[in-house]
Amino acid sequence: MRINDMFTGVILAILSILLYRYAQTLPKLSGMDYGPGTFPSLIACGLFIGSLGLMLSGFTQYRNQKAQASSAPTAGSNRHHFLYALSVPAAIIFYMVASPWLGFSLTCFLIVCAMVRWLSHRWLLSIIVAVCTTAVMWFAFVKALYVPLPTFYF
Amino acid sequence: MLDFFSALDQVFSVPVLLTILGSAAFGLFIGAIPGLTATMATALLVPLTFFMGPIQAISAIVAASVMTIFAGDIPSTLLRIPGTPASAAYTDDAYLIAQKGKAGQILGLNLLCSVIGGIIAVLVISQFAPALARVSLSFTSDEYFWLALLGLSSAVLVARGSAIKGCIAMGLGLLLSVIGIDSVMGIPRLTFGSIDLAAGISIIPTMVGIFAVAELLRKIPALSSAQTVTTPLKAGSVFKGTGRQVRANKRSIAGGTTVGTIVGILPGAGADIAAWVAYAISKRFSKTPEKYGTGHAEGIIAASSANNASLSGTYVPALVFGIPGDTVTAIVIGVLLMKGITPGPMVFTTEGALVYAIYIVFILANLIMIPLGWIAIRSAGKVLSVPSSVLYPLILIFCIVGSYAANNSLFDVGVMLAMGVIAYFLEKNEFPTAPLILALILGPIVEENFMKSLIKANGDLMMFFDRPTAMWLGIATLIIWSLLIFGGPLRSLLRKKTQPLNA
Repeated sequence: MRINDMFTGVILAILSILLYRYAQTLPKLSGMDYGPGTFPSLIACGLFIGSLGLMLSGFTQYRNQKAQASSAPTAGSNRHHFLYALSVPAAIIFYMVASPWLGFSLTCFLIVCAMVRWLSHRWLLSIIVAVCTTAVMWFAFVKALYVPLPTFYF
Repeated sequence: MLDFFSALDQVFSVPVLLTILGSAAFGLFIGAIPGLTATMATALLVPLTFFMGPIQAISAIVAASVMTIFAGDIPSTLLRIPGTPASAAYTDDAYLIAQKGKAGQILGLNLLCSVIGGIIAVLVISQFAPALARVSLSFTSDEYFWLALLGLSSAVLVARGSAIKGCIAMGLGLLLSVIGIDSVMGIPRLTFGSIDLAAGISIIPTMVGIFAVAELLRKIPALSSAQTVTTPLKAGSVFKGTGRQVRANKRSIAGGTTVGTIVGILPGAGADIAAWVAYAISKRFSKTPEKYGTGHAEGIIAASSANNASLSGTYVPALVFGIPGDTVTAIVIGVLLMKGITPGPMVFTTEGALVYAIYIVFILANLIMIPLGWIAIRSAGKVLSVPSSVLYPLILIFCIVGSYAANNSLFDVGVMLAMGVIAYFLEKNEFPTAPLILALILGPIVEENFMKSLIKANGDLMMFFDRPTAMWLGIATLIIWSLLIFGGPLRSLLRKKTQPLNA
């Protein structure tokens, strides 16, 4: 996801202003001008200066882009790329939501099976890999390292 | 001496030896897969190190990183695809030699040079680091503040891409480091009322997110298009005639090892920079520079000695000052902090056995790399045929469970996802991630020493330059910042001035 530096600069400037304002609300050491807010304030100032530089480089980038006609990649390939990349956060979110209910084993099996099938287009391979991975992870983490992985809720 | 024997006793125990062997095999596998780096191998090991003692944990990381850097040469030679960025400098030369039917020999030569470079560098740093630690025992918060800032600034200076983006990545890392209870007054900062955030951003999910999840986000979309399968070249016989070549290129090995160790010691520069610098220097002083890039072994010898030597070098600033030399040692510092050990000069007196153990494990890992490397070269065809469509889901599930396992918390899995997405976004927009992770680790050190010095000096910033060492460190930091701020405009000004002259 490539976005113009000007836009990133604006977001960063807003973030640094909010951080500075938040840092000013933190208490100070008694009788002194500094405290827990000093370091975050310095970071906010640094980020604000950086955001100005980013906006400037983004503006130059935008001007150059306008001058040269760019050949954009096809929408189809972009959508495919995006869907494949999305499978990673989707799998992680699915684990966070489903594992407390379905338990580790079933969630792990479903994630690995679905992802291997989605990426390799082979059902048998995906089932074999998912079963083996679930078994190995279960024994490694639960039996060997004593990690209390979530179990089946029902 | 007692520490040395204690370290020997601990390293040569069955659990630690098995850990070294397992991590070495893991490192060889990860390094041999194109695109998977030493940092990723280390980050994937971090959740497991949570269940180990300090020496066992560091042994695992050292063994895996040493093997990964060598194993990166395997696909580089057989496929012309560098396994890790540290092999990129000599990929063309290695592949061209392999095409002549000498793949096994060139990999054998890489292996021997890596071993020699790695062992010599450890012997050098084992003499150098304690002396440096003795000097740094007199350091106060002023020197530590400047040292940490110098480390961060160097990381920005050597990072790829624009200086401004490196500075912003560093700023974001510092911002993440202030989340949690503040060390001055014990006040929660940026926690938004969350109990999970009160202890700060957890190191394990952050590392796994930035180095593994972000990598998966970059790699998995490539599987959507039809994959062109490149058949690896056959390795053939390994080590045939390599002894003779090693003897004939003693100077290149010595040069590469020296460059690698020095580059490793510099904060922020790692194995990939060491390999490029050693290759360039070797070419500059070679009698046959015209042969470089056409399948010539001299550059490979210097660069493969350098990339492995730099690994040991990176432990000098990490152990002596607590400042990471590269991303792998940033993770090592995170692991040591998790184990209640604060890296710094005191480590040499309070944790002497750990320091000796690191040296011993480096030598041991380099020695076992000869048989394990030989096996890896011989079985390279099988390793390179593992389909990414199977490997990536396995890495993902390991990341999820690994992040969860440290604190048994699904919140940490969320942190991993958030960090992965942030790192992916940053890299896509050409922000380097190394300054971010170094700032996250060094942030608390910078802030703590800054606040201590500020309170001591009653707010007078000139007092930061009052002590001689602090003054020189401060000046060095300010020079780096001047280079960061004015380096770009100065270069473009010089370019403009030279253009009419060239015309």
